[in-house]
Amino acid sequence: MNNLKYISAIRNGDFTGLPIAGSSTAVNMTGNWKFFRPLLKPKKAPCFEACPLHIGISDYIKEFAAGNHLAALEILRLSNPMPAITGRVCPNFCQSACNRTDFDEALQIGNLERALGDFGLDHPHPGNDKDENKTAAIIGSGPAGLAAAIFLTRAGVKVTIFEQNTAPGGLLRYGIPAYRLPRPILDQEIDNIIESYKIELKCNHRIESAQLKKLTAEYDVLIAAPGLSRSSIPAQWPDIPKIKGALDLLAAISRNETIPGQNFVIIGGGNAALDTARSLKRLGKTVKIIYRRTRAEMPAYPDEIMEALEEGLQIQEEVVVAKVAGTGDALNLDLHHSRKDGKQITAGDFLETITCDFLIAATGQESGTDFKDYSPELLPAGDFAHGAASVAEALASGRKAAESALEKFGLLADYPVSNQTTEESAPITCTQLHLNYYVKKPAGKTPQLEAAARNKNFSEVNLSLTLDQLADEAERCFHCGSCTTCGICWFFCPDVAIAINHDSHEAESPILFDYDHCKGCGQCAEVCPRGVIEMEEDL
Amino acid sequence: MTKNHFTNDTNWQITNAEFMESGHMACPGCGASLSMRHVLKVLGPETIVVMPACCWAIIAGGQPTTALATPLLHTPFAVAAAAASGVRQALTAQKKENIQVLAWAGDGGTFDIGLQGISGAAERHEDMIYICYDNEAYMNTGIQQSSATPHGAWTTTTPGGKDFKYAKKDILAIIKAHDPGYLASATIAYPEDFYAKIEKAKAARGFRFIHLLAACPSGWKIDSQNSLEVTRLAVESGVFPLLELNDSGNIEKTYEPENPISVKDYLAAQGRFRKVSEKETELWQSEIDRNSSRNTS
Amino acid sequence: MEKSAILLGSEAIAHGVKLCRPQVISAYPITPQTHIIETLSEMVDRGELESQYIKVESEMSAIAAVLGSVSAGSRSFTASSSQGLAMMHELLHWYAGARLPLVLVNANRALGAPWNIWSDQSDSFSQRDTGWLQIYCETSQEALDTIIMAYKASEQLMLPIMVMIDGFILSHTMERLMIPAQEMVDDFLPPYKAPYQLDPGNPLTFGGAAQPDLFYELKKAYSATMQEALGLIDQVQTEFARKFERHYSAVMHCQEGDKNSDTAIICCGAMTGTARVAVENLSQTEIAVDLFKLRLLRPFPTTDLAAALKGKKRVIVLNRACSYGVGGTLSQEIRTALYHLPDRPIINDVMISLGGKEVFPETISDIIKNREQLSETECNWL
Repeated sequence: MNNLKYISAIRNGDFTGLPIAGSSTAVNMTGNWKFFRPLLKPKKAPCFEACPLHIGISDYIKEFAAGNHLAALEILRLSNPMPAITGRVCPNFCQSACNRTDFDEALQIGNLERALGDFGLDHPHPGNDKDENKTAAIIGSGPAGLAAAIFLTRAGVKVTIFEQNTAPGGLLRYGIPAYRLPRPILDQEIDNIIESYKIELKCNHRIESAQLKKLTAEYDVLIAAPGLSRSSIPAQWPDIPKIKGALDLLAAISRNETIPGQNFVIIGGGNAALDTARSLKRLGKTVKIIYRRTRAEMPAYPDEIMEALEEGLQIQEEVVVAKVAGTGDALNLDLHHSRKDGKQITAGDFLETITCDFLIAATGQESGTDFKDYSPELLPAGDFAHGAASVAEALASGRKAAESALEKFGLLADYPVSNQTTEESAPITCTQLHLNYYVKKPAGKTPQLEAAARNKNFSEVNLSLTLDQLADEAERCFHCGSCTTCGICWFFCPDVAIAINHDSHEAESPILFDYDHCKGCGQCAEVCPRGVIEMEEDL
Repeated sequence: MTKNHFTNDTNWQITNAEFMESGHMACPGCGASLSMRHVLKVLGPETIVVMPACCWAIIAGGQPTTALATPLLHTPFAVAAAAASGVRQALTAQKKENIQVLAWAGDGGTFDIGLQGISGAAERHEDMIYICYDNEAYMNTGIQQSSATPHGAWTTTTPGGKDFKYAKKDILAIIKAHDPGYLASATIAYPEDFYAKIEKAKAARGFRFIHLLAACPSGWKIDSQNSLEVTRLAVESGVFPLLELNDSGNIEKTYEPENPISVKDYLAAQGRFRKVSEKETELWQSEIDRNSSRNTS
Repeated sequence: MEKSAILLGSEAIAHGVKLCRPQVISAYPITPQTHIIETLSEMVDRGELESQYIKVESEMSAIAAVLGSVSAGSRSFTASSSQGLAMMHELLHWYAGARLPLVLVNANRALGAPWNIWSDQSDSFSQRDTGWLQIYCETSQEALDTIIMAYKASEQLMLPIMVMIDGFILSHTMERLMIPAQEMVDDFLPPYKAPYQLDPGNPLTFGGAAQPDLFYELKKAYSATMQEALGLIDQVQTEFARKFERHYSAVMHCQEGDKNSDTAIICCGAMTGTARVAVENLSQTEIAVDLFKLRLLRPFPTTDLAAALKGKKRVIVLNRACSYGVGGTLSQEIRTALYHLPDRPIINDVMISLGGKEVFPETISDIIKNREQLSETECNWL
């Protein structure tokens, strides 16, 4: 009776010899079974690739969505120092490349950028106290000149800008109408930059080509970004005051000068044509645009065209002005149907003769300077360097000029860049994403001033959305090719072998694969919405 | 809690707590193990699991280990529902009404050998959740056909493909005839639907039955990484509709594919349907079309 | 206080079960077990017995349900017979292997074909190897008492116990018996406190796969516990006797013959009663035999039996179950138990009844009288 070994054992809580289990299967190294292992392989996003400035869009939107607006602004400004401006005037190459387009609707990156930019107006740039004992002179304070100045000063170069006009901004001020870029915004953005980076700005200071040599000697580097400030006027047109260039007219409007005449005909299909037409309309003029091709072929930004049409602007398509005649009070224009002759457009059948007070040329731009054979030390930037292009491209060009200078100075190494810039791979496409587990959401579109209200003044057409209003929009970003710790891989792991490292620092991976237990099934790679996880042979 | 990305409902949070351990014995890409993981996430630790012979009898691990952080009772093949009834009644006697009893069985233990016991438990309205994870054959014993195997499917006992005369048993109709407390079909490939149904089952009382489609990479002859995708195609093609018994006593769809795919695409994604002829595929398609029109009318 | 009553055997069993306060009862009806579960149903219905009664759809589910309820920590009860017990067979093995306590009452009945509902011990004898303890009862009083003792032993051992009564012979006959007082039973048998159970507060897994070496070790431990059970059953029976003044042991010497008697007869269950009369009648004709009843078939009380039968030249074994191709199942057991004795007695294997074939005192006394004619090697059919 004293030998009830097993019975007493049970009563004493010793379950040896019983069919009872209680310890975790985690002791089994089932990771030994696998032939493939998952790895986190971030990829380039198409927006990043499409943006001339290569803004770390995904990165700043991540912070935006998390409510860290200042952090988002810092990332954004790293590549784009004037988001309040580009957020209004950029054609948003990024948005056109957005993978979300194939899913529901492109992410409204421009709106996010604009809202952050406006937020930044009250938050000056951090500036830089470094002094590398180098100097640079920059001709022109347009976007390219300013960008060059910012990127140089960030690296510790002392910059002087020479601006021929009374105020800085170049085409931003004298080309883009206030209803697209309100002047207080422009002023504040530029003021912030000038002050934060301690840039020496010399306005009313036109540089002629003869002075270049002297500047080259005085400064360690010379960057020329004078822009293309004049509209070219077709050679066959008579040289009379009733025929004007669009940019001259836009500059005059910007300066609040009185514009004589009532009836205007504008020739061209680019942004300059539309800007001029819409500005004149706001001054109560009668305006008509004549374009030689179809509306669909107009090089102006589609949104601009749409807004112009809403405002009641007349666009006469596939018509050319064959002859300009008349002096005194009115001009007579002979309009002909366009005739396609290969790539050329020539005058076809006569259509009609119309009259107007002024004929405005918006068919091309040219430099307002006579810099021709500048020295090799002179670095060209902006429209002057690459021809008329967007503000973003001008900024990129200014930055590139700055980088060339920094390389020369041996200062490029410390230069802060946004993430992803070193990747040389092709950007990730929509087919590489896995969107089955993504939810469709309507895009956060900017409200616009009603068309009827627009023609009365130069109020901004696109109204602002607040940061809070855009929180949902920020959530819509796919973050193509970049892990957001969304947890979908974690959710679908049948082996409980994925952990999300929510507090990961840059050195740590945001996803922790437990290779001791991962059996290499590959489902995480198959479901990753952003295409970040890849399976690699496990040897 | 981890924020979900499967829905616009930002209130839906998924617990980070795990009640299924890593190191379990499931094959790579096993739909049944993933399903268990999430069922337990919803049901929580106050759950007792009863499990007959099935893949999970192995997946759960050999002694002295166990893959579940909840209590687990292994039982012989035919008796999961009866054993779960006993557990439930003991808890009732001990006034532990808050504890959920989960009977967790494969298709063999549900559609075939266990059906009598399920009918008994359902008839008694035993307060339990019975979940059948259906991988459409006796996978644990090496892929033999069950009455849940769809026609056309290759198994080791239907080497030429299961004869088209024998359709997959309509288990929901069988359980529905018992007036269950809750009844649904679901798959983890549709997380929102899945979670909602397990939540509803948890909140309901009486005999609650959920039919889960759970992919078996080796038995379906698919690559392990396609396990979820193929399950998704089963739903998108209408082969496995996501259903629920509504308040008025009808079984209705809880999900309607936006762009349904053809049954052909579903079959083509799997090696087990390689021998299905074009004519049989058409037949199957017309069955689905007929059923879906019946459901919507 | 104990009270006296005249009850059907089935009712007596129900009273015995009720005194043990099972929290869960699950059973499926089969003749001749039905009166047991009917009586229990009525007790539950009337609120006399606080128990969850699960009316399952088969015996397999009945035993599975109590597998569940006992795993969850509740004392439980089930009863069956014949085909029903056979249907439980898979679960009988499983249940024992699961190391859980239970009392199952089996009303012994023949297995078909052909159909036969009468007394026959083949149903429980063919479950000898499932790992269950088996106790055979002679009277309804013994059955009632044995149920109380069985719960106590079962819960000490964490092993299931099958208590046998002969179908109809006990189940359907009236007997005057004593029903112990509830307080005394409560004192003897405190509420079941499971050493392990399905409990979310301490999550354990029961019955998971075991690799060959571990499986072997588990079964070795099981076998050792079965050996320990012999002693524990003794202890429980002694304790019961002290409290209730009714004495039981694994092997019971029912009727003493002459001091020099060299013949013993041995049987299980209700037939012992008939044998008592036969032996008594014979003693008046100067034929002295000792009568033994074997209560405990599993674990087999080899030592006790050998001690009891020591010095006997002849042991006549009366069988109600047959292992076809060998002979009486009980005879095999007795033979095995006595094999190691230096002076082994002759074993006469007698197939006295199957399928309820009537056994009269004369049937037994005739066998004894004609013992010299009995085969010593073959099974003796009447």
